[in-house]
Amino acid sequence: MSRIHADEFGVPQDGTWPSRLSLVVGVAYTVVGIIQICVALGFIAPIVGFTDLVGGFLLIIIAAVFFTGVKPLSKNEQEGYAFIAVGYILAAILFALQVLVIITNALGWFLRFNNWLQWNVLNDITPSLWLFVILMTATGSLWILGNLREKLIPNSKEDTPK
Amino acid sequence: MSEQPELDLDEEAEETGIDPQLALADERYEVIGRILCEVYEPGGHKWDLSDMLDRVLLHKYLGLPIFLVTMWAMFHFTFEISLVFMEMITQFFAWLGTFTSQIPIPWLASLLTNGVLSGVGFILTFVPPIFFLYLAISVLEDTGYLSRAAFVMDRYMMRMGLHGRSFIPLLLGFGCSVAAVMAARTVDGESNRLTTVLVSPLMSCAGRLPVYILIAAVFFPHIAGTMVFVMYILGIVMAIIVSLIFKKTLFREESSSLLMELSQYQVPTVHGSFRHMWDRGLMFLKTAGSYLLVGSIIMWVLSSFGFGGYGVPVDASFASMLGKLFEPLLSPLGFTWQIVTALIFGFIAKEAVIQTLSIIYAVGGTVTLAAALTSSITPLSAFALMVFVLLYVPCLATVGAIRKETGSWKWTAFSIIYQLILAYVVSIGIIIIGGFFIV
Repeated sequence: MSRIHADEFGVPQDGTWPSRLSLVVGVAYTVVGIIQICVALGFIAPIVGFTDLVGGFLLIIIAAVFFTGVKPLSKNEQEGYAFIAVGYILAAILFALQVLVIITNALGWFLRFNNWLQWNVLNDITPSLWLFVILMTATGSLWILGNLREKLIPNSKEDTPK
Repeated sequence: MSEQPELDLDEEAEETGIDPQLALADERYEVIGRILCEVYEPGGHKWDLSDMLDRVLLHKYLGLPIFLVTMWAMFHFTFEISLVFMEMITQFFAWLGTFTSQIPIPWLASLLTNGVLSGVGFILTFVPPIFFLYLAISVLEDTGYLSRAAFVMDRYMMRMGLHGRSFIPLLLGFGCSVAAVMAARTVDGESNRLTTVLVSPLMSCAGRLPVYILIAAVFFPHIAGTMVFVMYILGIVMAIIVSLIFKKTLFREESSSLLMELSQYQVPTVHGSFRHMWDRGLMFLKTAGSYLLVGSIIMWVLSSFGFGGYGVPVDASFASMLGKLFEPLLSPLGFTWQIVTALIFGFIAKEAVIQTLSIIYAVGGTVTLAAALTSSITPLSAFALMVFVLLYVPCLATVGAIRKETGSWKWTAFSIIYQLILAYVVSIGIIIIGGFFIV
C-alpha cells in the first residue's frame, strides 16, 4: 500500500524507526507477560505485582498487536500505524484501569475500612502500569529526538527524492 | 389514513414470514448499489481514523483477542472500582441497623433489621458495580465498538452455522435478558429468531452480577474480577454451544450473512455516557424499591414464622421447609437448604438470590453473609452456584418476554426446562471434574 495519506496523520516519513519501536515494545510486553504467567502459575518465585494470570495473557495480546504492525511498517505501509495506535490504546486502557484501582484502594485505606487496612500500594504496581509509563517515556523521547533532528537538519526532507 | 399501509405490511409479513424492515433494507442496498455502479469511479482511497482502527479491531486473528481484552477491562473496572463504594453503603446500612435493632418491639426490630435492611439494604450495596457496568457498556456503545464486537463474533458464529445478527441481541443481554429476548425480532428467519430467543437468557444480565460479585469476593478474593469476567464469557460460550445444538437438532435453516452499517468511531461524551448509565441504573433502583422490598418482607415472614408461630428457629421456618423439600435434588452440587430456597426465589428475579440468602442468615443470627457462606459451602460448590445462577431461568419477566415473542406456551415451557437441565448438568460437571483436581 502506498503512503498516500501519511502526512495527513502526521506519521514519520520512514517506517523503519516505528517498526523497530513496535518490535521492541512487542518484545517487552511478551517477556513481561510470560514472566507474569509463570509467576501466577508458581513456576517462578513470587514478584510483587505479578500475581494475575489473566493480566499476563492480556500483555501478550497487546504484544501481538504491536508485532502484527512490524511487517507493514518495515515495508513503509501506513496500515502499520493502525496497529501501533490500537496497541497504545489497549495499553492505555489497562494503565488507566490500574490507576483507578490504586485511587479507589487508597480511598478505602484513607477511610480506614477493615479490608483496606493491610493495603500496600506496591501490590497494585502491576506490569500494565509501569510498562505503559516506560512506553510513553520512550515514545515521547523518540518524538522529541525526531523534532530536534528536523530542526537541526531542515533540508533533509526536501532533499529526499520523490 | 396512514395506519392502513402498516397494517397491510404486517399482514403480508405474517403471511410471507419476511420482516418488512429487512426487506426495505435489502431494497435500499440494491438501490445504493445501482447508483454506485453508475457514478462511482475507483480512485485514491481516503483513509480516515475509523478505517485505521477497523483494520485492527476487525482483524481476522486479532479481533477476538482484542474483544476479550476489552471485556476483561470492563468487568475488572466494574468489580475493582466499585469495592470501596460498596463498603461505604454497607457501613451506612450497618449504622442504620444499630438504630433499628434498638426498637423495643422485637418483631418490628427484626423486620426492619433482618428483613428490610438485610434484604433491600444488602442488595443496594450492589448499586455501584451495576452503575459502573452500565457506564462501561454505554462508553463502548457510544464509541461505536460494541457494534464492531458483533461483527467480530459474526465470523465465528457463521462458521458454526449460526446467524450473525443473533449476536446483537446477545450483547444486549449483558444489560437485561428481557431486552435481549425482545431484540431477537431483528433476526432474519423464523428458526434463527427462535434460536436467538431461546439462548438469549444464557447471557449474563446485570441482575446476576450481585451473585457473582458476592461469591467471587468471598471465595476467590485475589481473582474476583477475573471470575466475574469468566462468568460473562461462559455465558457467551454456552449460548453459542446451545445454539449449535438447536441448529443441528431442532431447527435446520440456512444462515445468512450479517449486513450492518458500522458508524464512525466517536469519542463518547461524559454527559451522554453518564446519562445512559443513570437511565439504566434507575431501573435497578426502582426494582429494589418496589418488588424487592415486598420480596424482602415476604422472605422475612417465611424465615421468621413456622408452624410454631413467630420466633421459631430458622431451621423450623417455612423458608427452611421450602428449601428442604428440594434440597435432595441439589445436594449433589453441595448446596444447603438456604441456597436452594434462595434459588427458588431467584425465579422471580436474580437479585432475589442474594437478598434471600442475606435475610435467612440474618434471621438465623449469623453475623455476616460471607462468614455464613464460607462455613456452609466449598469453593468448588460456590463456583457451581455461580454457574447455576448464570444458566437457569433469569427472571419471571424474561419468561413473559419469551412467551410474548414466541407466542407459544410450548416454547416457553421448553425454554424453562432446558435451562434448568443445562444449569444442573453443567454445575454437576463442574463438581465432578473439579473433584479430580481438589482432593
